[in-house]
Amino acid sequence: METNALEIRGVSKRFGSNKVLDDLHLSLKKGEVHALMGENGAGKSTLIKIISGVYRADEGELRLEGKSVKFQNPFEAQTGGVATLFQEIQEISELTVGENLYAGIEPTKYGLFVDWKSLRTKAQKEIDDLGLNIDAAQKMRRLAPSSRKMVEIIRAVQKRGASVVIMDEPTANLNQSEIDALFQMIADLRNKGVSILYVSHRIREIFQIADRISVLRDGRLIRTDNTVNFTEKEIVSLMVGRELPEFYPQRAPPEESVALQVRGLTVDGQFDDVSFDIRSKEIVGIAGLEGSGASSVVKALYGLKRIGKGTVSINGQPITISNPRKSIEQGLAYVPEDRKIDGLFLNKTVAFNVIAAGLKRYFSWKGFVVRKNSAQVASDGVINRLGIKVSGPLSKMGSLSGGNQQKALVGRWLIGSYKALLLEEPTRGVDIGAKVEIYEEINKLAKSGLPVLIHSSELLELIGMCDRVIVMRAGKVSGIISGGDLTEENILRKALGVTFKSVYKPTLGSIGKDPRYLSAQIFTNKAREGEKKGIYGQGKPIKLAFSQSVMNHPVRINMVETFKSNCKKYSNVSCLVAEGTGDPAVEIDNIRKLIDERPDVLIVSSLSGAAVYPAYKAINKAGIHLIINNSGIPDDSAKDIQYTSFISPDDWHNGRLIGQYFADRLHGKGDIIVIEGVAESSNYEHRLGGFMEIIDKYPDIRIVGKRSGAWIRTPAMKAAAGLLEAHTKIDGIFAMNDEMGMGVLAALRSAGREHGVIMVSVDGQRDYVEEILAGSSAEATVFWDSDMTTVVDASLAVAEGAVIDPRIWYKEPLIIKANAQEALDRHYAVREQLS
Amino acid sequence: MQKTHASTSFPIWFAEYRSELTLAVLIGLIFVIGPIFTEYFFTIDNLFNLSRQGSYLAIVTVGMALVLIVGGIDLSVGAVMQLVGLCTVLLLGSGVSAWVALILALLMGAALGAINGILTAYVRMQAFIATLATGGIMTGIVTTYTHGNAVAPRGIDPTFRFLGGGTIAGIPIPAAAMIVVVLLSAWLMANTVYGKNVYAIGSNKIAALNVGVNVRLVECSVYIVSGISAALAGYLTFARSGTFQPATAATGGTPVEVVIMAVAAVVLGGGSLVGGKGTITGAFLGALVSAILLNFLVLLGMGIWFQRFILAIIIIVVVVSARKTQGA
Repeated sequence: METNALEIRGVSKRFGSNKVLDDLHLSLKKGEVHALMGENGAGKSTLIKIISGVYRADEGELRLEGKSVKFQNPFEAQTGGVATLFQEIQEISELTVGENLYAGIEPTKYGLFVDWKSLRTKAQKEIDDLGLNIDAAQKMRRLAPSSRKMVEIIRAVQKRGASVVIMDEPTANLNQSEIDALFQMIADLRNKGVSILYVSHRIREIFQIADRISVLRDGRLIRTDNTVNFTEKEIVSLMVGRELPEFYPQRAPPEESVALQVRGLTVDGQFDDVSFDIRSKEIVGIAGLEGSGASSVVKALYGLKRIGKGTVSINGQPITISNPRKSIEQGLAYVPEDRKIDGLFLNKTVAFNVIAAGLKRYFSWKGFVVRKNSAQVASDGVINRLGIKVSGPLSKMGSLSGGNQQKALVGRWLIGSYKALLLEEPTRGVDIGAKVEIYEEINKLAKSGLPVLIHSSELLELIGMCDRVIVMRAGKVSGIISGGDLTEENILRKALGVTFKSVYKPTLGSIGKDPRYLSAQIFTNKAREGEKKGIYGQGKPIKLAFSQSVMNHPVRINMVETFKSNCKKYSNVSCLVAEGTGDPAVEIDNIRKLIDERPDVLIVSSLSGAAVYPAYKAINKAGIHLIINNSGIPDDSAKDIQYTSFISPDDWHNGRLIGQYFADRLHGKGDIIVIEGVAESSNYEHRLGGFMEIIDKYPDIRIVGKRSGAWIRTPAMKAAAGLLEAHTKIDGIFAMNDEMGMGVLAALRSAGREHGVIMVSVDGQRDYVEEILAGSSAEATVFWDSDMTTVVDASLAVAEGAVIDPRIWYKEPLIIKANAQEALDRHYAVREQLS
Repeated sequence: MQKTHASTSFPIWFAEYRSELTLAVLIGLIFVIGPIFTEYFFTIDNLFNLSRQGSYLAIVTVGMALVLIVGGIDLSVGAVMQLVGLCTVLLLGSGVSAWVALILALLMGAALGAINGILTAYVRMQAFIATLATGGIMTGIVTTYTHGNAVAPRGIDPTFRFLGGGTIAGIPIPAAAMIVVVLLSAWLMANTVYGKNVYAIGSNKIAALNVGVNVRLVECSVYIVSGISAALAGYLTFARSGTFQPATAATGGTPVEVVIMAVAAVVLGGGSLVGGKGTITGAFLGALVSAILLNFLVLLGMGIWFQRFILAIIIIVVVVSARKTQGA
């Protein structure tokens, strides 16, 4: 039997009468990432401290590499091969990054003098290798907190040659690219055979990187199992010990009346001209990257920033914002970002903390003498209502758990009446049980009629709680998202301000709210990780098959090419491709042949409409995963067809973009003709549907003619020529794809009517984009991604047993003259390099 | 729910007021063993003397307690006592009545305190540096004017010496003043919004701002209180003899010593240099311990320096034991 890297056998630990760990057994295999989960107080921290030598166990033993060890202090643990990354930053802020990285193990000259030059170059190389943008010669204190954390991680993990690495909430305060770098480090360590004990509250992260998960509750091990055998929901209920009702509360619909109105709010150097309304009973989120101004908006509303311009009114009454005291007087309540730093009085009693905000108004005689009894009654009321666990009336705030502290912080505003509620990070660092309770209270406050504004870096929290989310980017509102569009993806897009990059690396569509779904980000990350190793996942053989309907078009050819090239990235993935002729019979026959090859996943891209349904049913019958790509989504007549996912650019979105382009460009007035594709496909229906949805709003824009060009150049040229003859004045042409657009251009040229007409289409085909660039009548197109990287990534995840989102849409931007060159360079340059 | 609060169990209550209880026990102990060593200890004469001597420090300590609770420090109190004392004596010498001089003295204390408050709360200087500097300026003015000599004008209002040396209802007037000051400020800190705000700022300044406390104003105000209390102590100190004398142990110590004794008293009573903690009662008891100790040791024929030595040991013992119980 292979020895485990670390074995914990029957460890118990008491503090006074409180048994924190009870006969705990846990083993860490060599080269695994083992996640440790549990609510606050479950015993995770104590266990970590025992392993890392801070505490000693009362009973039980630790075995490292099969040998029993007893660490007397953290230093012994470190030299013994256990590196621990604690939550708190422990670096020396006056030294440089390099000096911190090599503290105690500096490279030397003649074994005596520190070799500063080599230290700096080595440190810099190490940082660069991880793709981080940190200068090794920089003083530590000058770095952003997240960069400091990264340095600390590198120092704790990379340097000391540990065989076991413990990480306690390592991603707290890190941004996405830093998290990616950290995960890269973890993957590298795992490949070197280092075992990692990973403690985090962030369940989705755990699913992303952990091989196994152990759940602790009340000092006992509840379950250890492979990650794939857990669902998020299961973990949560194991941690809490009961089925949680609904994670996010049932929301009441907001009222029509605007309760909080913000107009043109500006804080110099932080954000500019921010306007929004929050209705009565409405919960609105505000999101954005650090420095985007999202947090500053909330702080400014409460009077914590000097407002340059703008007006704020509550229930129609303008208010003056100057400082928190005045804001409270005018009915604003505020839950600050970091409870310990700017919220609580830790060395004061819970009651002192709870009544603090209402002290003068509710618990004093003439604003001066405190009415102690009524204050006590009120604070006891809050403590009871929120179920805050206190050991006695005089127990200090600092002695409470994080969840209870946070509840008290929110509970402060349950006393008295306010007109608007502002919250920042309302559940930061709080366990799941307390989270649900806090959400419930926020919801109750909203239901009572308050407008609520929440700033949070947890997007799922905003999606779960809010009716709308305001997204900030670089000090401006970059979008307000609501309803079905409220997805992490959409928030991030607005927050990042998606540029043309997305054309080449498809960002993904909606991520299901159901926690069972593996989010797109997770499976793409997993695929990229596999790509580096040349092996996908655990290395078991995976077979993917792809049926392409027809090969008459550059987009279709590109699909097949990218499908093959993606499969080739992994040595354990094999692929089969069947190319059709456009004849449904051939296509169905192809699919049947592919079924006989027993692939794990069969991907179909069809243009045959309902004709292909029997083949779908055959795939279902064979028990093979069906992924439908780009076209042919089964309609209502085929409800019995089951498909794992439909993955495609969002043609409805494309149609809307085009409709809006015409509306803007023609100033809401003009005559348009449409050159249509073949009606039997979702591409057709969605493009036209989205287009008409916008055009219908402009009564002065008329569709004066429609003809089919069957997606192909020559028929489209003929169709366009006919329409041009019939209509002497045409302002716009919507060609449903670029290939047909090229045909239309030829028709326009031969009729000598190139000027005074604008054309928009879909695809981003090279020759068409070149026409845009040249300034012809072809003014715009929407990039339609035919790169199958995402489809392959998703299929591989499915083959390994993951549940993915049943609809994955890519939303792509419009290509116009201004960005056409960029589109050509990035897209086609990359493509040429590949071939 | 009120009941739970009223029936607060004794151990919790004990832990909460541990510093005060320890000091009370200590005082009781000295009173019990004191007479064994010297018969004179328990005479009315001595108790009068003791209460008078202790009152100056106790009054300064009250102001210092507020400043420490808010998270600051006032190193200028000893200098304020000197400067205000000198000005009072000069005013009286120019024919001003004792009562008018008292009011002017208190106003002057308030003004000097306001300078400290403005420098720390609004100009954002560190309290240690701001008050060190203002204290230095005040001491400088005094020594430049007096060249280290006593100032003893003739024909001053006799009420002045009465306020320093007389009694009211059998109690020495400085001790009576002390009782009023202590009771008033203890009530202020425990029962008013102002008191809670002082604690809130000392515990967490940003959190205090976020719950609507006017942080700067309150911060500034504690230095004014401290200035007033130091001015009162200075007035009473020099009223005893009716003359201004350069700072010596006999006048309650040099300015620096006054500061150290006052800070020590607050810390003994459960206060902390990081703020948010401590009570007026505790600070008062702390001042009392050091006064009684001094009186007792002087009676035994041991000097003031031995008192400082014992006091230092007591500070260490009390502070460490208080921290142990609050540990978790």
